[in-house]
Amino acid sequence: MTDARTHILAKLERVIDRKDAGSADADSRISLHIAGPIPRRGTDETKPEQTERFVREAMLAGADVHELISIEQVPVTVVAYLRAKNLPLNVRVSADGIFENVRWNQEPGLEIENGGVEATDTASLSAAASGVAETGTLVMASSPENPAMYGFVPLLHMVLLPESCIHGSYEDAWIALRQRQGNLAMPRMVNMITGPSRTADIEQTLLMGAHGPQNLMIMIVGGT
Amino acid sequence: MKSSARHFPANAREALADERLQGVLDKFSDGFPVKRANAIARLDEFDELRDAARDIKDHVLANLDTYLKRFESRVHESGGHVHWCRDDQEARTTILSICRAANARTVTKSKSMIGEEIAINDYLADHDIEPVETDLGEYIIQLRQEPPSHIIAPAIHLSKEQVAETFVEKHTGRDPDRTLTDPRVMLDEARAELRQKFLNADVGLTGANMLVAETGSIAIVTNEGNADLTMGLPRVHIALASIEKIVPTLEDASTILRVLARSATGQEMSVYTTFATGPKRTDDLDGPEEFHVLLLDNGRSDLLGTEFQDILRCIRCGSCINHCPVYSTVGGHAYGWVYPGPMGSVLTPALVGIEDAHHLPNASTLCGKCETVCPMHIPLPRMLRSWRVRQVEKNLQSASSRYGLGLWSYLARHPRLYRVLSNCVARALNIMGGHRGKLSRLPLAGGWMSKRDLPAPQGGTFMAQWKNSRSRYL
Ligand code: SF4
Repeated sequence: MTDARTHILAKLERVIDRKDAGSADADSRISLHIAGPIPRRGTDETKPEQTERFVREAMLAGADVHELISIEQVPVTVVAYLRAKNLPLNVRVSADGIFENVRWNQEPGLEIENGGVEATDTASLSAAASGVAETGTLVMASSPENPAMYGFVPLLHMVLLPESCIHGSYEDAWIALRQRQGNLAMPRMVNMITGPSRTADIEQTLLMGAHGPQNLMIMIVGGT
Repeated sequence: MKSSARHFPANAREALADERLQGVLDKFSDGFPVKRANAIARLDEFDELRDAARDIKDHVLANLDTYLKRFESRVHESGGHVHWCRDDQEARTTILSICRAANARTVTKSKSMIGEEIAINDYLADHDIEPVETDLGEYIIQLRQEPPSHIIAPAIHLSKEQVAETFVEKHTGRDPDRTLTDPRVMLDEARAELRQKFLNADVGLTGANMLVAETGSIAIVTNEGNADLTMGLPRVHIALASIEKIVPTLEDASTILRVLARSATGQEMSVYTTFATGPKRTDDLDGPEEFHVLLLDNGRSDLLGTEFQDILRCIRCGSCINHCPVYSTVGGHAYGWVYPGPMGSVLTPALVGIEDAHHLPNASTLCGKCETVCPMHIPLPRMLRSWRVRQVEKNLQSASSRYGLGLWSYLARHPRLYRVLSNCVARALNIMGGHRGKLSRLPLAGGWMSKRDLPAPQGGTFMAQWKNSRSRYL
């Protein structure tokens, strides 16, 4: 008996009808990253237009968005949001360099912890790699500094998105990601997130916070 | 899952008589189609994207072996394992041996149609490993020991009262007299129950919406975030995918994502689209230590190069099901296997055999709506007709339809007899129609007539009228 791999590949070789093969062969298609049609709404040219669209689409998807002038406003924004959601002032903050100079002690009562997310965490804060204006989608790239589970375990997920990282389309976000990674492989987890977790599995009633966060809050920081 | 597709007529009769199910289905047929239409109205380029999505999959199918090998080597480079499986049996034993090697006692699962196809839950349970479905809909039907009735909304056939009853019965350890009427409270209860399961699981088993050859990533789309917890928390992650799920690049994945959610739920984008590549890296604070991908054939390669090849473009969006008049009348369980609706009626005979599923290609009015709304331009009605042809070739129709067709073909070959007979029948029907000009009963057509009236023929037969008008105009 041949092994399954040999068997399946031999069979494919036999039955594939190659006359329909696209113009580019497989290898060049992979290395050229040819983009398909990009919707006009993903082709805004200026940053303010892209940001405006990102904000609009993210809010349509149910996210809360705050536009900050500088990173210094992060602590006060976080505290106000946690209070509004009636959550304790405890936040699991990622070790992303962007938070390095944030002065958390400006806000008495705010408890910050770093490290891996724990089951009892109620709120987390991590940094996005990109934002895609087309659909208000965040692109989170996992790393030791930004663990993927920050976005799934706590009830509330807050995300810092530098305005400079907002792109028009998914394709532009992939270009940025490839540049960022250089010769490295794809980050272990790339999470595209569009709004907070939801389900409509009980008689088609739409409810937020199925398994992931019930609230997604995005802070866009200009001039970064 | 064992197929009961051969019992479609009986299943459908039962569904039609079930008033509660009919109520739920009424609600269903206004939901998704309206949302889809709204989403598409917001995107001028939708048709262009559909064409591009179709072309991507056609290109992939024409180079499937090359792309699979590319994907495999990327997975190896990122430290993962690839397991090729010819059929359901191989897939089940592969999964079991990975679980055994991990000393697994519980396995969390995110929704996977392939998982249903290979009936992995029963198999794991038979081998003392507890499988726990985590998609809310799948979780509910797992508690009720029912199969899914829709590929993206597996519990769509249930009312909230039924869900409440199930939770009260199965969530022991809670007050049995609590009131459960608010869906929000039910969801919070399920979230709490499942959270513990997520944290305790030894293995996470997910499906995959796409496999990206460029990066060796599996792409999974959910709205709940359950797939991410399923693959992110346990020590071992197994992803189950059939071989046609390949796309070449992240760009190609993006084109397909643009049509997927809009066609499925009418969202611009599902909440979570995750690309997972290999196991936990050095210094990562979370993630699985082992990453396994199962590449399952299970009959797909038999379809390549045949008149059914195009069904391999299917991205399981459910749009054809949401728009199908037959599905919205009988629901998903009547189809008797994993895949309901038009895509199921094409795929099921291919995967379980036409002998076992010969009713399904007939469970269609060939109204063509499914093809119109399919984002991958899959010619579902044409393929349903092809199955009907095979059915005739294999003599699988009922004796009465064979007899009827035989009689008709005899008459069609004897025009004079045909004319005399049809003349008599037309007159008789005219008389039976009476003043109303309508017939509500006919011999041999009880099933059809019980829900409908037939206008009685007025005037002569077509042939007679045609002759008359020819003499008038020529
Ligand atoms: S056949 Fe088309 S419409 Fe139906 S599930 Fe597949 S892709 Fe969607």
